[in-house]
Amino acid sequence: MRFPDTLTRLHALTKADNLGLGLVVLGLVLQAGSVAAALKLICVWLLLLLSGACVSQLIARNTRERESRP
Amino acid sequence: MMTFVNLLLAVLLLALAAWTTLARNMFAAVVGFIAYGALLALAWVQLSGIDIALTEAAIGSGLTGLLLLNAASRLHVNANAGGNTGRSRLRVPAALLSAAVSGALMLCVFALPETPPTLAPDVAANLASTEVRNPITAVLLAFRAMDTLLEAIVLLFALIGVWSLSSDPHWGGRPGLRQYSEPNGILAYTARVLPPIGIVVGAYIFWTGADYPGGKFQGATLLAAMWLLVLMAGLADAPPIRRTWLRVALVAGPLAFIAVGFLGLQTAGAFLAYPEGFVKPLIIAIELALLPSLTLVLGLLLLGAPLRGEEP
Repeated sequence: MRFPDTLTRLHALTKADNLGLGLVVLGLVLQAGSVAAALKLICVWLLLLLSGACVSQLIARNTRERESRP
Repeated sequence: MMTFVNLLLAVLLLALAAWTTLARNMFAAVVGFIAYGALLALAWVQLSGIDIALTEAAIGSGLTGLLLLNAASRLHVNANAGGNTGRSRLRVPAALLSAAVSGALMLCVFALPETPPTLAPDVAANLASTEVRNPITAVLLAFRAMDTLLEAIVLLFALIGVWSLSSDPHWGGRPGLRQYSEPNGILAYTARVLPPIGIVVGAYIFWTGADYPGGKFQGATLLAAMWLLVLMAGLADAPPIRRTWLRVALVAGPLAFIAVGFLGLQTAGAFLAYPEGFVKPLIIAIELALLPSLTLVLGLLLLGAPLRGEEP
């Protein structure tokens, strides 16, 4: 298996979540009809960045605590 | 291209449904259910049911998912979804019953006439009389207002049912367990940064409901989610359920709805009928009154029965 534990899987996930969605949003911004729609798309991306960063921190911390427990 | 996306969506939905049913681990099953709800919301968007998509994403996937997560963590995180061997005798009948229900539903869908009976043209023809531009809101609060009123009351009954599960010494206390988290941890940070944004979005979804997809249920769910986030991060504590202001706030929305209903009896000749020219203000007044009540009910439903008695 390429991603043996939770932490490496999280590491792989962030690429798709942050960069991947960012590129998708970048593509959609070019097609957006108005400036307001483009700004909304960017806001969606920023919110997802925030939630992604927070959730992966929480998952990672939880994993570490569980591993350090005997 | 769109056909391909739709097909992919349908296949993914079926795969996730199968995953949720077959998952051995209860936690995995709940996560599958949440993802299933999110995809279902996408399917509703494809079917142009934006209102339903919003409700599905907020209540079907988000709120119900959280409720199930809560339940799963209480029933031991790693318990097998199928339970212990004592219950496995029930598995086959349960599977047969579920299959029979699904089969009957499928037969019903195929037996539907080509052009199903619909009231949509009537709604479209009478939409102008309600002065709201979103036909869903017009149906929910004007043409079928009784259903919405009963829905709001049913939620209250559900909350009373949940509260009644508390043991005697804890009655009237604070629901759920006290949450602790690091004061400078990432959860506390999220609970400080996200609620201002979430409250604005929730209020917007509520306000735009008169003219565009949205409404009080979706808005209230978002507000409740923000409240729960603050509670989960330990930044605030849930109020004890014996508080009078809490109980007044819980029943205020439905009571206002009923009051408007009786007002209709006086002025327009029927319960829940709106007098000419005051339709939109009254609808907005009802929604405004229901919003805080629904927010509290949904949040408290998730917090569960009071588990702490007289502790400060």
